[in-house]
Amino acid sequence: MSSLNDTNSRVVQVKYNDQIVRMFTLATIFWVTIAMLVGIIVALQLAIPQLNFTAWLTFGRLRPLHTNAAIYAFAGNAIFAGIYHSTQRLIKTRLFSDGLSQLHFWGWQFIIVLAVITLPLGISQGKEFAELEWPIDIAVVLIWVVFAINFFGTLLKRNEKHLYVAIWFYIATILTVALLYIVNAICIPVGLFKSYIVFAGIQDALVQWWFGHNAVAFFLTTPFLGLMYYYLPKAVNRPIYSYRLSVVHFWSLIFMYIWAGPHHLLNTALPEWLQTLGTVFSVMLWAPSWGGAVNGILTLRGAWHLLRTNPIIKFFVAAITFYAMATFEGPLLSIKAVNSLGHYTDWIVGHVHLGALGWNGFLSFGMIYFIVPKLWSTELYSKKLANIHFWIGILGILFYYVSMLAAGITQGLMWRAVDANGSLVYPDFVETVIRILPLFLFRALGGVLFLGGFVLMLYNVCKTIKQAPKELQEETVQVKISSSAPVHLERGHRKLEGMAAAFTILALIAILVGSIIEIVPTLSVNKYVNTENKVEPFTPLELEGRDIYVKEGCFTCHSQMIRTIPSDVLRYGAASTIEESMYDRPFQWGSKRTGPDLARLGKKYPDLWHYMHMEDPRAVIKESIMPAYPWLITSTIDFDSLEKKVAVSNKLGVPYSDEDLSDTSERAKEQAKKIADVLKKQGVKEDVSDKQITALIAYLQALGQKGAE
Amino acid sequence: MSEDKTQRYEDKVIEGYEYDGITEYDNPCPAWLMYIFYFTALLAIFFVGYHFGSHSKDELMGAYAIKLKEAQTQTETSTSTQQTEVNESELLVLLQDPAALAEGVEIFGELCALCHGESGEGMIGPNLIDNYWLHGKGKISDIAVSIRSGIPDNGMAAWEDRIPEQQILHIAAYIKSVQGTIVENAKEPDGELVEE
Repeated sequence: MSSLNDTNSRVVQVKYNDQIVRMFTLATIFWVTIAMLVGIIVALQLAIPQLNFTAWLTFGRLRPLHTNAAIYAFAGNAIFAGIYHSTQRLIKTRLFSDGLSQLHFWGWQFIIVLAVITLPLGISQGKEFAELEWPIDIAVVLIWVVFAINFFGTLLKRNEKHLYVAIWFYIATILTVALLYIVNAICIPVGLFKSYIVFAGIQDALVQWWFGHNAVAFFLTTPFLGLMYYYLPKAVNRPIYSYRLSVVHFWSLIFMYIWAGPHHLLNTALPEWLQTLGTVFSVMLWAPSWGGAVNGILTLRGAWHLLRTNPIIKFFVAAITFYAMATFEGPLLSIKAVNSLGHYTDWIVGHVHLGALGWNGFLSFGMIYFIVPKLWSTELYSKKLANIHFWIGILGILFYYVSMLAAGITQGLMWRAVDANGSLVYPDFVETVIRILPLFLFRALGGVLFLGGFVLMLYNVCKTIKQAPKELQEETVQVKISSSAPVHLERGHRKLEGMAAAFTILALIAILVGSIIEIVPTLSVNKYVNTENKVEPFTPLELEGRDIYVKEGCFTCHSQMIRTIPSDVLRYGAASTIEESMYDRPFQWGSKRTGPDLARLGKKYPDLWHYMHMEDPRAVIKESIMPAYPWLITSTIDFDSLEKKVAVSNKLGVPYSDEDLSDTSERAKEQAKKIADVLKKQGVKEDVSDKQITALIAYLQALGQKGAE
Repeated sequence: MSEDKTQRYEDKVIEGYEYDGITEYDNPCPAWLMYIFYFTALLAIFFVGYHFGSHSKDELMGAYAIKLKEAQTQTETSTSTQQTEVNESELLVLLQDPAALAEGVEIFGELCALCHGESGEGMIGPNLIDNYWLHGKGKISDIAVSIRSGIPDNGMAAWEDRIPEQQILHIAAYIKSVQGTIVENAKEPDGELVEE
């Protein structure tokens, strides 16, 4: 089809692969529904604990499903749709391979289905946003590589020499997510559905939050900034406000973001220099983050009237505004003094949803309203419905955010309230929960509104697709390719934009600097661990109890980290040390205290207390919102699997005795018998010496009892 | 209005920068945004100095320890005077008040029986019907203190802010009234024997 115009340029016809974009768009819409439905269920479970019906529908197992579905299923499919749609057009090239595109799509959906099955079953690595077990992790990495090959392959055969800013963000996304995901998931399997992370305690804490924070940065921020840079100017038909700003904020953003992870571990046992680096880089991220928001908003100059008439612009402008709010709040929360109030409270949950619902949600919705009519060669069925969706959605986000902000600050202030005698005003944790329960209901209402608005979109999109022509054409464009040298000599960044490989390598360096400086010193095993403070490892039975604790997702509501702030020490005991968690795989410092910290729980209550509390928390603490775990009393311990678990732990450096290694199950049974006997004496009728509850009680009673405090 | 602004900035589209119809202006980074960045960089320097220079972690805990000590010495002097104000004989009158005891039983069953048993025979929490006491000497005022401020270390809740003072006294009186009752399978005694 090419014809020669002159000696140096020719015209080729390029047909875009729109089919794959349609598939990812529909998958996005489907998984949003699931993610938000599960979100509403877990929100209601927090307010009404009786809604934890069966083992696989408890909060501890559904909450990981909610976060994974929101991040990987909803945001994931949305960015794949947007990246494939915009990249083809920005470099005037059809996707590298139709086969890889299909593999990418079906592989990703298959992974999500596996997550939907395994997470409710309690198959979990116990690391936030990285709960999927090792076989699924391998699948994720493989499919991500497929995506990378497909994307970079497209770049290599591009018909547009220079890469637009959106593509820069996509490059940074693909590289960094691969690095983060792989490093954070390195583990040794002890079975098909269970593995131990190689990092322990402080190492795992640091790696996890390097991953966790940058999952937010490189899965929920950079790709969406890329989408904004394409869809916003397309929708308003205005030039980008400032090319220079886009260069400056891109590089400063990706360079600095990677350092900010330790702000999830402020005031903990983490060494001071790492905490300070976390604070410093988070605070300095304010301007680079706003760079994207400012460039977006100022692009609208001269087109503000569209805000009145065009619902798509409404979604985009609101999304950018929420992004600006969240990226101001983030640095604020990274200041140690503010963090000591906000950390572990619902304020953080509110902050996250400001980003997830406001920025990721609204930007995706705007994008979907924009591309669906284009992909199905028709008009949007109803502009009015889209407008109503917008306003209901805004209301939902505000309800959600305001109630969580109020709940977080209220509870944070109650936790730290100390009277003139230097004792806690609210020593009973549950008092601080009762106070914020009404806000939990408001939050659920916010979620319902947000989902309600989305249902309108679902209807609108269905109707739009229904009115599409039977035969869908793939968009075809004529591209003039000039093979002659550029008229003027290119310098600096412009030159770099023409060199995809060099650009990619530079981006990789930018994200590696912070990663290496922060993480590598910690990996030298004993650097921060004072080996003079001897710490006993958990016994085999306690280790089994710990695995049950992880399986049930107890870490979603309980931390095991007493911070170096007075009110924490008053409430829970001496501040936690690095040594205490040196054998913990995964670490359990936690990110949320829906219930109290458990770092020094051991020996505080009698065994019977725990037994009754797990069977029905409200039989012991009337107002408790913890789910009941009756199945732990009937499910048996798999003593045979213990040998492998202890052996693998030992191989990873946990000093088990020879007896523990050779007679693992006997020793575990022995300890279980002792606990069961005590329980019997205290009034438990059944013999629970081979039941999971016994292992869990053994673990809970061992917390804070292993020395080095 | 927005049109005016566009004029003032004198935006220039950069030549040759065009991607799928998207062009870019040659505008500088907004000055105010750069000032925010400089401000945060200064703030960063301050944080580094503050956290490394002053060992903020130790200082925070140290300052707290001093404050706590001050508070404790203060309360020691004040409690010694307060002690005399509690009049046990006035509380003993409650034992003759059927309405008070009835209320005591009712709330006990609702709130305390979870841990101390239906009849106070002890379960998760200690036995309340024997003559052994872990906290105080078994006087109504002693029991009321435990109910008010709880024993947080052992899981006993503080009820001060959750139920009225009147009810706390009624529960305490009820517990006092069941001293020495015999219940089957009662929990073994714990604490100090108090002879009356």
